[in-house]
Amino acid sequence: MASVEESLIFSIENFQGPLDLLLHLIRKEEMDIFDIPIIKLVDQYESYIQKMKDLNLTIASEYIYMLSILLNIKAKILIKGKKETKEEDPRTPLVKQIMEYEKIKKLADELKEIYTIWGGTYSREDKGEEILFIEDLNIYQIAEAFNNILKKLKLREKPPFISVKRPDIKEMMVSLLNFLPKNKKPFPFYDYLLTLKSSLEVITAFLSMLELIRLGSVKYLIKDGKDEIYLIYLKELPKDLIFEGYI
Amino acid sequence: MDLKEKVSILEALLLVSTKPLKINQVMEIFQDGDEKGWEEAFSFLEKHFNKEHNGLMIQRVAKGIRLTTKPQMEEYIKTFYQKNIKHNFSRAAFEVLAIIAYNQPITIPEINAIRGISSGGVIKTLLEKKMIKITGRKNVVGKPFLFSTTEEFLIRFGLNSLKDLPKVEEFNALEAE
Repeated sequence: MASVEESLIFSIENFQGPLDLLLHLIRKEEMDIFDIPIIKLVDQYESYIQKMKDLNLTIASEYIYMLSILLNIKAKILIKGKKETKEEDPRTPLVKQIMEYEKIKKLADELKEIYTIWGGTYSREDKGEEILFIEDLNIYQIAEAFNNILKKLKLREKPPFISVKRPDIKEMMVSLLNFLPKNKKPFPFYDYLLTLKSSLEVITAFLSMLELIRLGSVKYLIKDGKDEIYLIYLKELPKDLIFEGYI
Repeated sequence: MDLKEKVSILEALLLVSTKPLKINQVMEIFQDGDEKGWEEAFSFLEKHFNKEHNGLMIQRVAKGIRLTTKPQMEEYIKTFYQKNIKHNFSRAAFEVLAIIAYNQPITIPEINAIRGISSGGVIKTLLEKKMIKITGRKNVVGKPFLFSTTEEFLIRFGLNSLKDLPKVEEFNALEAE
């Protein structure tokens, strides 16, 4: 019996979720997927879950959820009995889901095979020395880069600073623009943030940056692979700025 | 510019380029509009490199051309580096990648529904490895992010475009047999 137990541990860890387990049971018992003997399947599924419990494995809630779905189908079938009804077979949605999953599983195997071949080919790598535009840059990448900056800032230990004055976007824009080198070299936004004291100021600085980008006073770059934001000074702020509608 | 010249220029550009080189990119540099000529030069290089005794090859990938080591060289490169430099994706990662590749753009709840289990951790790995990217938000309750595959995905899997993914129908045919 020991070997059976062992193989069980092995296989439970290898299941990619309840659908994978169901698929395994169906294939192992050579059940007809279009006419699944649901009572047998539920019993087997339940015994697997029980074994997992016996082995003190943490069972993902998805497995329990699937068990409830199975029991629900079983109940429906038992109530219906052998009567012919026009109602949809209660098994159909689950069967569809299992078949869809099986398809994905095969495609995943196929992808893995392709990757085995082509994943091991190498060409000149971008060493990240130069600052490159990430292609098709979008708002999510700026958000992600800023998120990384926030994480980095948190690492620095600093006593909480209670700011008396609420930071002002307009003032911050002027200060940020003055901070940037005028020689049009990319400057890390992070270095500017280091001069700030509170998280409210950091957020304001971010909004100021976006505003400067919108007005065309600075250009931004994101270092590929590093998700760092760099700013390049382009031109002074327009004199007749109107800040209506901002905070 | 004759073919010989084009071939040598391309060879040089292929070596320095960090992304698959595209014909319209090259044409933009030279402004000569000779698409046929450049295509011919590419084919010439392709034949030139893809001989048995070469360790390098020209690969058509991500709608461009890439100079790369041959797959057969992987073992030696690994030994040279004394470590595995290829990222080994988990089974779950391949599943999620397959779901995204064939159904993009797609949200995490939709991916979870197909797999029947949560996929958050795998998504994070795939984002880190730049196999997928966020391409928008779905206009449903909660506005979840939409994910799609990247150019890096095409390169790593040696695909010229998403059309080159293994066909779903082929599997259905197999089942029918």
